[in-house]
Amino acid sequence: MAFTDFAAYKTALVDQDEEAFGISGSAGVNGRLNDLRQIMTPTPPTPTAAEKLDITKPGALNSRDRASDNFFLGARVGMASTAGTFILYDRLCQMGGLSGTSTAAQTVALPTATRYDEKGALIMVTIYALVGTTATTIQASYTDSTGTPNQKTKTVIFGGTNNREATRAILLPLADDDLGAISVETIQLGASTGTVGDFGVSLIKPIAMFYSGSSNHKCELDFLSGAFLGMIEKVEPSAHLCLAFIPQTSTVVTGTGSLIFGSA
Amino acid sequence: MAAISSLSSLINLATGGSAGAPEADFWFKNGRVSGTNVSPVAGRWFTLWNCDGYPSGGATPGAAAVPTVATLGALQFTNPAAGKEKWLIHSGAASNAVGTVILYDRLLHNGGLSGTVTTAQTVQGTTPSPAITRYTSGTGNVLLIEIYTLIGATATTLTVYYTDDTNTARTSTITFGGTSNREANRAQIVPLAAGANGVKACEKVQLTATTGTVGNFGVTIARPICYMPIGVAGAMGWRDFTTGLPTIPKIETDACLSFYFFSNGTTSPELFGMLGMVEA
Repeated sequence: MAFTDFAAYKTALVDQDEEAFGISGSAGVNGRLNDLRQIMTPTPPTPTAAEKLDITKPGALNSRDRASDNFFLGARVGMASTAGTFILYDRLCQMGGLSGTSTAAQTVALPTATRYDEKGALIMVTIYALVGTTATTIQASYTDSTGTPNQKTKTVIFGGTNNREATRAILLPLADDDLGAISVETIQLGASTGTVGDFGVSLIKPIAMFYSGSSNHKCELDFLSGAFLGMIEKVEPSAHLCLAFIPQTSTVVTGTGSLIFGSA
Repeated sequence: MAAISSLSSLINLATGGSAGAPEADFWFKNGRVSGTNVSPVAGRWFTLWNCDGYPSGGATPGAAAVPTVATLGALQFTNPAAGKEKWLIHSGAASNAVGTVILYDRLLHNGGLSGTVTTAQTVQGTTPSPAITRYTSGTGNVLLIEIYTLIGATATTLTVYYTDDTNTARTSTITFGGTSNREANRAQIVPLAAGANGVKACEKVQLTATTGTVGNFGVTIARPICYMPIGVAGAMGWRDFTTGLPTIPKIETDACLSFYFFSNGTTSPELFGMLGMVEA
């Protein structure tokens, strides 16, 4: 059910149905996308085998099912160390344990995602342990949102400075005209990066962006506050919400915050 | 069709009431074209039209054409339902590179022009074909030259023949070729003649001399929609049309939405952004 008016929206905001989170760890590379999942507190296990994710799995920032009439209204964020841009996303499935030295196609075999219609579901590579200093390319084979398997992403740079650090996340451009991915079959590097490291692949559906404009300052952001992008988005009951971050400095990030939910 | 009457109306539409059809369209673009790195020229416009990302990079145009939301490279949004209009509520992006992101509607483009031919090269011809189908008054439309493949190192003059918003035939010139005006993905705004407030059509272009390399370039007629300045790498540049100027922009049915990046430096950009829209 939609909010009828501003008063109803404001009432939901002040009800303060919040989920708190903490962040502590290196945010990887400034100005680039970083996946905060492995530096959230409490920290979920590093992904290994391919798995489908929902609200019950470790790492979800939303701890309880608020049923179908539930909107993401805003966020409170207090970062002690750096300003930057947050991206709230629903992590649909994931796997890890891939090697930064193997040049053969590495099996990913992500389970087919079932939330949304997968239009807009993106393929994200996350580095869990430092890979090598040699820059090469990475490419995924995936099934698109129409069910066509063995589609190939465009290649992007992987390894080397700014593309090797733990928490660094890299989005893979889909093949021409593809509007989303529902599964990933394999990942292949163009050459060895020089270090095995550990990286993985997930399917994500972005939900909102918001900007914490200065360190040591708590921001409270919602649809009407500016610095918040995303409609007043309905959250899937089984969503596995996570945060990515584009920091303004490469540093150890510490911070706390909360996500604010509400229903009409 | 109705305007958004109040803040309460907007809240209602943004949560799906009154058939508001809210959509959050996320996008990302890399400074790569089909897997090959491209970098901007500092302080100059850089086209993201053909850059890899989501949506996919657009193809290099051929003969003049009117691109739409269905054209490869256009940001994917849903056209408004019958009797409704689409409104852009907010727009923003973050990047590793400092600069300004420009969201625009790509009204017409062509490609395949040569950097060595000194005779006139046709764009839409004397009777414009095809004619633009959106923002047809021409007022506020801008004219750009986009380079798809490196042209030559010799700087020369390009004369652009066009029709302005008052149906007057005009010419303008730019320096074309040579350092900072020859690189792949470089976009050059064509300054309009005095008294012209927009562009309806572009008849032809003509080089004064060869740049030395054929390359590939074309003409684009674009309608800028909003500017998003990214002041610091990692900072989000955004426009919230609910709480800030200008007024909430309308997105035309079938609009071919894409981006330019007005870059402070030569860093190949990695951009992540979002557009939020409702129907009313």
